[in-house]
Amino acid sequence: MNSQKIVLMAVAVVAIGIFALPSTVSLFSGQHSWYDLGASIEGASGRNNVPCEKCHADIADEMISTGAHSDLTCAMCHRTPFTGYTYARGHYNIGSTEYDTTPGQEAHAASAVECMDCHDGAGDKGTDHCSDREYGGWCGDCHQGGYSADFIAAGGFNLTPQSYDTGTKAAHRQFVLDAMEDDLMEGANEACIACHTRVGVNITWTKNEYLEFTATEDADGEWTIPSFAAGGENVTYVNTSNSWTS
Amino acid sequence: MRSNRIVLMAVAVIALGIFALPSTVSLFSGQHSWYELGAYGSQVPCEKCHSDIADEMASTGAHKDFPCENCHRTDADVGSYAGDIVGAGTGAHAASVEDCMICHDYLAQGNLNYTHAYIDVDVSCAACHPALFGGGDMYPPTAGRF
Repeated sequence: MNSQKIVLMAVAVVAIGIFALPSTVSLFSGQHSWYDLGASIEGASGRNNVPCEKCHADIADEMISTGAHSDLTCAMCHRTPFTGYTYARGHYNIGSTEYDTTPGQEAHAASAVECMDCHDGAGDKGTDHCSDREYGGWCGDCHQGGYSADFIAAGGFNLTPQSYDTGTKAAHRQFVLDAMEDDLMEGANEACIACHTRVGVNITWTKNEYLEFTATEDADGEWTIPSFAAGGENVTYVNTSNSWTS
Repeated sequence: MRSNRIVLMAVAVIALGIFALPSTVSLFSGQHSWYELGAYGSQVPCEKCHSDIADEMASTGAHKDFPCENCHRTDADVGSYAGDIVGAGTGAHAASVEDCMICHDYLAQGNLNYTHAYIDVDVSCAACHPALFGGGDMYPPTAGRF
């Protein structure tokens, strides 16, 4: 009878152990199953294969289901050489055939970037992004219509190096310039994000209400209107909800 | 009793997290849901920021049937607006500040400075050229007699 109790107790302990104690001494099961940083992905040796989507599945959903950039990998923006940052690499360096690791400097896995890092129309900026493992073989994702440096440039604000980018008639130039001065986001991103994504906006517009001018008739009956000005003040609120979340 | 409180606290934190932290690390939810820029016109909705102006347009007189780009993406002097048709913008990016006479000088001066490259022809020809659709004038009214 006593031995039967012992057997039952042992069975119970084993059963509990199977479900409650699947690992031995590590805090997590799988804690020692490291991602390979030097392996091949889709035949391109050395590409970063830490899956960003593991933690950022919500952002991956936004990217793949909507508009521009839907074909881009996370690394093409957030590990781009156009930032000038040195990211950590567990694989081949750009332009090298030797296996060599690189510790990150300004950023480890990824950085917050300016939209203008890619869209400034300045081309390679001294880098060789075509041989970067994050870009190799993906040319058409950005250069769908051609390979000129200005094709994906945010032209029309007089912010790119091209002489024909004058921005002289751009309605949103001040919006971009002020966004560049604000430190909520990198560079001009506040303006880029407001216009080009489904993020909502809450805007207080203060506009003039009337046109001011002086009309004077001289002795010959000729009229002159020497100047025009805007006056008055009207405040209007625009609230547009986030059309991704709503 | 004490462990019950801890469990309740944990549930509350998780519940708050589900509603208050829907995104991971981007500043805004939807920050990576880009508008499509291909094809004719721009699919960036002007009304998102300029709904006050859209209200003015939709509720009053002439131009009420016009999409924004019929005026603000049509100046040939701009060179090119940003978009997939031509590429990078030159004199303007999304929109230009416009001269009314860009449309209304056609018969008076004959130097139409107007490009149709960025207009969605499927929806907006009739707004300016009603004669093509069975009524009205062929061109926008000329602001003549000046």
